[in-house]
Amino acid sequence: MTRHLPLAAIYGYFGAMVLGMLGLRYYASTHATNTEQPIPTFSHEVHVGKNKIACSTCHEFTNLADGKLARRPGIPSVQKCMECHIDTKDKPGFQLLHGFYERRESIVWNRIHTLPGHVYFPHHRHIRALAEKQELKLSQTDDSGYIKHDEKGVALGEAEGQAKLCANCHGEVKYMSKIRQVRSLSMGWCVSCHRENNASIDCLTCHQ
Amino acid sequence: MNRRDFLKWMGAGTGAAMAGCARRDPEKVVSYFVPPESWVPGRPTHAVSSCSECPAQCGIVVKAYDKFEGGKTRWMPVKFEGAPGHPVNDGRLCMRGQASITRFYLPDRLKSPLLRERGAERPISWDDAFQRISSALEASAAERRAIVWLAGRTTGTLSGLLDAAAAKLRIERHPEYEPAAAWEAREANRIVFGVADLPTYAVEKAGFLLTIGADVLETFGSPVHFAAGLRHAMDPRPREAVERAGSRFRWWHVEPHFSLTGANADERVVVRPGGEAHLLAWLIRRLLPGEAFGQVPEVSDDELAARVTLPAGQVEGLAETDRKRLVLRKLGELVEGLRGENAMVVAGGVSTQSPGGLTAATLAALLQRGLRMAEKGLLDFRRSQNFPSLAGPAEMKKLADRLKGGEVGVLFVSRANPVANLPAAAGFREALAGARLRVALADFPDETAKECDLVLPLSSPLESWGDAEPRRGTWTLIEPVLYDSTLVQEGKGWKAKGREHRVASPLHDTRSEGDILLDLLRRVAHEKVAASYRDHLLAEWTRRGIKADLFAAGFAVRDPESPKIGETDWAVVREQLRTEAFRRKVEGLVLLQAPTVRAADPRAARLPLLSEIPDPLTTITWGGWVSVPPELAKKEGIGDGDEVRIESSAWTGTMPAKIQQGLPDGILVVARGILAGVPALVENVAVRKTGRKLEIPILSGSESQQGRGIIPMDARPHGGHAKKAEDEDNGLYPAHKHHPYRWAMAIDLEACTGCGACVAACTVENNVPIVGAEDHLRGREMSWLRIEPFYEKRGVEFIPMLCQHCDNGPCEPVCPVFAAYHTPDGLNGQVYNRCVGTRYCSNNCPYKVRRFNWWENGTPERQPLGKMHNPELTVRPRGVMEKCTFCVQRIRDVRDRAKDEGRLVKDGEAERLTACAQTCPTRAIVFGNILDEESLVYKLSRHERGYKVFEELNARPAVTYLHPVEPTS
Repeated sequence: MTRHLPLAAIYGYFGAMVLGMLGLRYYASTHATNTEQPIPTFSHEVHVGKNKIACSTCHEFTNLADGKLARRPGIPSVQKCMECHIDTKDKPGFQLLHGFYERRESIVWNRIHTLPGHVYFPHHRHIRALAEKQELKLSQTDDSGYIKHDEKGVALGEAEGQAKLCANCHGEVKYMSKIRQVRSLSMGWCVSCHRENNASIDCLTCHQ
Repeated sequence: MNRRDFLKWMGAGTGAAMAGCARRDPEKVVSYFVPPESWVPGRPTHAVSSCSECPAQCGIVVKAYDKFEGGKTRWMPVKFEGAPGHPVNDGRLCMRGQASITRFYLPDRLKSPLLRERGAERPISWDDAFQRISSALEASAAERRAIVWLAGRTTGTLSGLLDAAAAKLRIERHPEYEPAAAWEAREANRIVFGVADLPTYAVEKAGFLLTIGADVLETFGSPVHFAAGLRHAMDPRPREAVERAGSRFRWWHVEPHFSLTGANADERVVVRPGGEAHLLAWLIRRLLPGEAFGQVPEVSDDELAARVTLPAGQVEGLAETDRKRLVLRKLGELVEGLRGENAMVVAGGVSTQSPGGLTAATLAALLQRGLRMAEKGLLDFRRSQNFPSLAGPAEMKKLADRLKGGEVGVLFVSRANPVANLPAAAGFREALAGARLRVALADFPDETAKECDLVLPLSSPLESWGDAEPRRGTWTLIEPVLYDSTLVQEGKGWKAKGREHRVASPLHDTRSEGDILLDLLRRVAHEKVAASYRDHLLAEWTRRGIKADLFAAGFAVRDPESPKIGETDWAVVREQLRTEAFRRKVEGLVLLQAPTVRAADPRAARLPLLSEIPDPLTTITWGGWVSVPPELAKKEGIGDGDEVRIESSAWTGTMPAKIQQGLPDGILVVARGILAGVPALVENVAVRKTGRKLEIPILSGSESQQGRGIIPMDARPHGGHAKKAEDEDNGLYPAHKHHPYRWAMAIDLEACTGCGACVAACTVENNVPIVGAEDHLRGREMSWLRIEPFYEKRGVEFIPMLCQHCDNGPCEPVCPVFAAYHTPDGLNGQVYNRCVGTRYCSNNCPYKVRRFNWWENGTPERQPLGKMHNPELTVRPRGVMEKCTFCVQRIRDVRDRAKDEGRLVKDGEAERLTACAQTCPTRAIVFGNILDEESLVYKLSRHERGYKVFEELNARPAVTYLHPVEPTS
C-alpha cells in the first residue's frame, strides 16, 4: 500500500488542481464579480423591475428612436440621476449621490461588461440588428421618460420588448439588485450568435 | 533532487502560478457630473489648434478621446491632422508636424516652476516665482538696468499683449529669435523692397522656379504649403496624376550639398559655398538691363565656372574645358527659363547662411524685383509670413555684449534656445551670467533654461487658449483640448456652457505665456487686466471682428493693408557687394550643417519619434553622422560606419561617416541639431579615419535597386499592363470575390517627394511602437510604412513601401494558424490574437513589410508615450506579427457610418482616408474603392504610368504605383 502512496499523492494533487480550476472557471462564469461600486445600493431591480423604467431613459445612447444611438452605450450622468432624485435624500444611497452632485464630481464605476482591447464592438449596431429581428420600436416612453402603461398599470409591449432585447446580452437586469455579467462574452458566444443571424464572421469585423 | 524537494518545489511553483491569476483591477466607466457638450461615448472630439513645431504655424485639428487619466476622464490628444481649408497647409502636415503630438506626452516636460540656486534646482510655487520676479524687476529698475524680453516667434494676440506688458513694465521687447526663419531673406527684402518681412511665396502660380539653397520641401518658410504649391505648378488638375508632358514648368535648384529638396528638383546645379552670390550676379547681368542693375558687378564666365558645376553624374570624366562649356550651356538654359512667363526665384537655407549669405539674399531679392515677381503676385507681401521683427546675428551679438557689460538687469527668454542655437563662439552662455535674474519660459529643460535662475513651465498649446497669425490677416484659433466645462444652473440642473467658456485644464502645474504676462501686469504693475488670457483673447477677437469665423472654421482670413513697396537702398546693396565675404572663395574642405526634414533646429531633436523615422536620403535613424562625398571617401578609404575625426578651428570631434551619393566633392554635411554650438559653415576642415568601426542604424538594405525594377527607370510604356493583371485570373487558387468594396491605393511617384510625412502619420495613427537604436541595428524596426530611396544615375528616386494588400498574398497560404487572411473587402488581414509568431509570413513576403514584436511594446517602460495611444486599435503584444492595415479602423469608421445611413462609402470620404493619404502634402497617395468605377483610385490604377512592384510574382497587389516621368530637357 505504502508503495502506491507517492503516486496517489501526485495524482491526487494534480487531480485536485484540475478540479479546482474547473470549479473556479464555473464560479467565474456564473457569479462574475462581487465588485464594490461607489454607490453600493444602486439597484437595477428597483429602476427596471419595480419602476419599469425603459433602459434608454437613462442609457441615452441606446435609444433607437431619437437618433442618438452611439457606438458605446454610455453611463448616465450625475445630472441625469438628479432629474428624479433631486428631492429624495432619505436613504444612504441617495445621500452618496447627493454628495457627488454637491461636489460636482463624476462617479467612477467599476465596469462589469468588459471586452478585451482587441475587440471592436459597436453597441448601436447590435441594438439595431436585434430590434429588426424582434420587430420592435424602441423607447415608446411618455414625456416623463417612463414607459407607457395600460389602464391596469402593465407596461406596454414596446418597453417589455426593449428589456427583452437588452437581456439578450445583459441578462434580466430587472431581477438584479446588483448588476452582474451573465453571458460569457467569449468569442465563441459572439460567433454563435453572428452565425445564427447571418452576421459577418470575417475576423476584422470584430478584431482590431 | 529527492522526493521531498520535488514536492516542495512543485508546491511553490503552483502557488506562484496561482498568484499570477489574481484579478486585474476592474476597468472604469464614468458618470460625468455633466457630460461635455456634444459628447458621444466612444467617439473622439476634435479641437482646432496651431502647430508650434516650426515658424510656419500650420493649422491643425486635434483628435482626442476621453480617457480615464489620474482619477478623472479627460480628452487626451491622439492625433494631429492638418486643418482642412487652412490657407497655410490645407489639411496637410509634414513629418515634424505629425510627430509634434509626442511633445505633449514626453516625460521630461517641465511640470512646475523651478528655482536654481547655487547650482541646485528645486520646484517652487507660482506665487514665489512672481514674488522673485517682482523684486528683481524693482531692483533692476532702481539700478537703471534694462529688462529684456527675448522670445521665439510671437504672433497674434500674444504679440499685442506682450507689447502692452512691455510698455507698462518698462520691458524692452527684443527682436524675435527664431533660427529656423530666414533672417537673411527678410533683411534683403528690407534693403531691396523696403519691406522688412518675408513674403508668402505663391509657388502655385509659378511658370518656372529657381530655388537657391532654400530647402523648400524641408524647412524653408512653410514646407507643406510649398510642396502643395509645387504639385499645383507641375499640374494644376486636382483629380489627375501629375502629367509633365504638356507643362512648361521646370524647377531648378542650386545648392552646395545634396538635400531632399535638391533630389526632387528637375535640374540641380552644384555651387561652391559662397558662390551663390556670383551665380546671382551673373544672372542679373544677363537678365536685367538698365543702369541701376549695372551696379551689380559683372562676373566672368571663368569666375562663375570656378564656383558652379553640375551634379557628378553629368560631368563625370569630362576635361575641365568641356565641363566649363557644359556648365555654361546648362546655365544658358536656366537664363532662358527665367525669361519665361511667371519665373520665380527663392533664396534661403544654407545658401544665405554661408559667408556672404546676406549678399546672396540681397542679389536674389534684386532679381525678384527686376523680374517683377511682387507685381505678378508670385511674392505676396500683403499676406506676408508676418515677421515684423526678427533678430539677426548682429542683434544677438549686441544683446550678448549688453549682458556681459551688466546693462541688462532681468532677462526673460521665452520659447527660444539661443544657448544651443548660437555658435559657442558667440559666448551667449557666458554672457547670461551678467544679468541679475534670468527667467526662462519653456516647455522643456533645454540648454538655455538650464542656465536660468527661474524656469516658468509653459502649457502646451493643447492645454491653453490662444491664437496665431501665421500670415498677415490670417488668424488661427488655438483652443484647449484638455479643458473643464463652465457649468451654469439651468432650471433644476446644471448645463455645460458653450465652447468659448471652456477653462483650460493643464496636466501639470503649467501656465500659458498669455496668462503669465497678465499675472505680471496684475502683480507687478498692479494693472486692472482681464481675469484670464481667455477673456483677453475673446475681447480681442470681438474687437477685431474675427470671433465668429474663428469658432466656425477654426481660422479667419481678413484683408490686411498692402505694405508700400519702397525704393531699393542701392547704397546698402553696393556696400554688400564690396564685402570681403563676397569677393573671396570659401577655402578647403567645408563642414556644413544643413537643416533636414527631421531637424529644422535643435527643438526637433527632443522628439524620439523623429529619430525613429529614417532620414529620407540616408535612411539613418538614431544618432548623428557625417555625410562624406564618394570621391573623398574613396581617397581616404572611408566606408559607411567608419569613425572619422574632423578637425577645424571651430570644432574638433569624431563621428561615424556615411557615404552620400550625389554629394559634391569638397563638402562634409552634418544634419542640423546634432552639433550644438558649431557655426553653420566651417572652412578648412581636415578629416581622417580613426580606424574604429561604429555601428550606425542604416535601415535601407541597398542604395541601388539591384536591377529589380522596383521603380522602372526606362519609362517604358506600361499601357494597360496593370489592367491586364487586374482582369486575368492566372493564380493557383480561385480568385477572391470582393463585394461591395475592394480597397486599393495608388501612389504617384512623380508627385512623391520622399518627405516622410506619411511615415510619421502612420506611426501615430497606428500605435506603432518606437523601439530605438539598438533594435534598429538588429534589423528590428517596427515602421509599417517606409520610404525607400534608390540612387539612380539621374538622381535619387523615392518609393513609399507598405503592405501591398495582395490579392494572392504570399503571406496568407504559409500561415499555419490562418492569422494572415484575405478579407471580403480586399484587405490582407492580420488577426493579432490568432498569430503565434512563426514569422513564416514575413519570410514569404516579397515586399518585406511585415514587422515582428520582439518585445512587449505596450508596457510603460518600453513605451513612455503609451498615454497617446489610439484607442481604436490595440498595441500588439510580444511574439505577434503586425503590418499596415490600410488603417482598417478608419475604413471601418466611414463604412459603418455609411451603413448606418444605408448607403455605400462615397469616393470623397475614401480618397484621403488612410493616415498616409490624409497628410500627403502633394496628394501623391490616393486611396479608395476600386470597384467604384467613378473613384479616383480606379482611374489612377489604370493610368498608363501605372505598374505593380514585382508584378511578375503575380501577387496582384492592391497598391498601384505610377512611375516617375523621365525629365525631358
